[in-house]
Amino acid sequence: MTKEKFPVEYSRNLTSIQRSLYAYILSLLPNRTDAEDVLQETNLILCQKASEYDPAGHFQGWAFKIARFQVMKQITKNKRSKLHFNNDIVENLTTDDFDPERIRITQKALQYCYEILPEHMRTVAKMRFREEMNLKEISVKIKRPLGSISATLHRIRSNLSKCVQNKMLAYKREAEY
Amino acid sequence: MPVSHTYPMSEEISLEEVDLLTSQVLDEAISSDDFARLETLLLNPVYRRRYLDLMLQESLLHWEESKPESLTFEDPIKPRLFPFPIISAVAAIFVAVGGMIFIKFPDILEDFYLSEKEVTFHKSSVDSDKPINPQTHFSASGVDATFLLSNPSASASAYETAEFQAKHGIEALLKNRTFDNKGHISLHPKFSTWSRLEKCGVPSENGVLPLSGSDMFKFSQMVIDVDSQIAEIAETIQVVDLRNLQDSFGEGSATVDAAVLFNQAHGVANDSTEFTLSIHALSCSTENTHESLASSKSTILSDLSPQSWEEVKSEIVLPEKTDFLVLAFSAKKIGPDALIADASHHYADNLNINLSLQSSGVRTVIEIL
Repeated sequence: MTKEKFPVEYSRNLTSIQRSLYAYILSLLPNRTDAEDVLQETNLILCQKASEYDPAGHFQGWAFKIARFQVMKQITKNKRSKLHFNNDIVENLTTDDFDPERIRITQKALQYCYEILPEHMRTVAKMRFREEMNLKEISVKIKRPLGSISATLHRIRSNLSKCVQNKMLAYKREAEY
Repeated sequence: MPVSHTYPMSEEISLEEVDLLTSQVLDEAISSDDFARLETLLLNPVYRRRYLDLMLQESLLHWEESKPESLTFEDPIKPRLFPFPIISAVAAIFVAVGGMIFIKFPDILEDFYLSEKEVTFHKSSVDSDKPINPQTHFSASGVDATFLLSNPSASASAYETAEFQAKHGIEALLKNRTFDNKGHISLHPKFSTWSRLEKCGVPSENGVLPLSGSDMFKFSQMVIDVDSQIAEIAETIQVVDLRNLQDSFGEGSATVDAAVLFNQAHGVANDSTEFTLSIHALSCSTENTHESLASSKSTILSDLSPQSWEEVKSEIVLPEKTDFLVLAFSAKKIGPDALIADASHHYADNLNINLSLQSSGVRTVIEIL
């Protein structure tokens, strides 16, 4: 790759895979703070390695490979302090589910499903996903026990997941029609 | 088109278990036994697929949170409800700044890997009516952002947004991040900034045109206190890391002046809005605490015309140990109009921030924004 091509092609590629990359890292390292740190490190390395990238290659596959390596590094770093998946799981969590088209459709469905969440669930969802409060902070704020918050978040995720599945089936039917 | 998955009844029960364990792991509320159980389940491709679905959903929920009041996603079919800037911001900033970091600031890169600082604010007793407030006291530990309160009696929830934003911005700068999903990070040889201006930019709407350029800053919806009939919102706009310039501060030699213009749209609420620009100087006193050294604020009552913009200026002398500068905007309505403030829209544009340094009789002005 020539230096001149870096800003245009490379940044476009890097831009287009950010959501997929974050989703992939989070699935390997199911802790948001750690996943964000690894995303940063992966992006830095991808910039450093820009000159090594073959434009004829599969950019996302290459980036995911680097991300997986960074995840393994993070797991080794936190081995004693945090729960982490073993190597077999990390190797078996494939990247196929994170293609841009799938993410686009999921996004669209999720937008609809989030809007129709019951009000009390939206309140908790907003605190958890938008304000990034942890369970303890939410529990203090809305004066409910931790277990209840945990259960509500589980129901929110399940509701969204079911709704997204149904919505995606509807999109599929629309496309077929 | 991706295919949605359906599963036989025998697998449904364990899918529910996968859902529960995944939710627990995401909330860091899982026991080691349950984590081991999740690992076992993930050896099955059906459960693994469900886990990946949930992880994709979770990542999108966190990633897409930047719209103030609800999640709004990029929709390629309909016109975009929200000009989602995260991705372009990430790559543009990263690529533009990243190269510079590697070449010019190898120490930043080194620190990036080493830095593990966390940020908390310690309670202060800021007297915000004074233009410049020297050293304040800190009486309690814990997360707080009273330094952002323009009115200590106002509903604290109106300031929670600002608190989260300031905390996040400082943490991003402390960690020497080169990009962030909540604000744009810019690195300069002597200082770095974290800014929400571009992320919260909107084109003309509700009869209000940007004063200059194509975008203007839009306030989030106000928090309404029905009992006191006060509606208010405070937002952190900019955090500036001044640690590299600290040697130049002290004895009134460094000042920051900021100016911004505010406006409100026509709506069912037809009273004026009180807009405030506040500047806060913070020091990083220990590993993970911050204290407010000084602050200043200026307030203006807006007119009712969406055609005119009202300017507010504020200035602060930086105390010697200033590490970070936080700029915040707030908007407030009082009286019956406050009860319908959620139908009001408020904007800011043309923010300017300048830092003046006096040394050996020579004054140098650095344009921060």
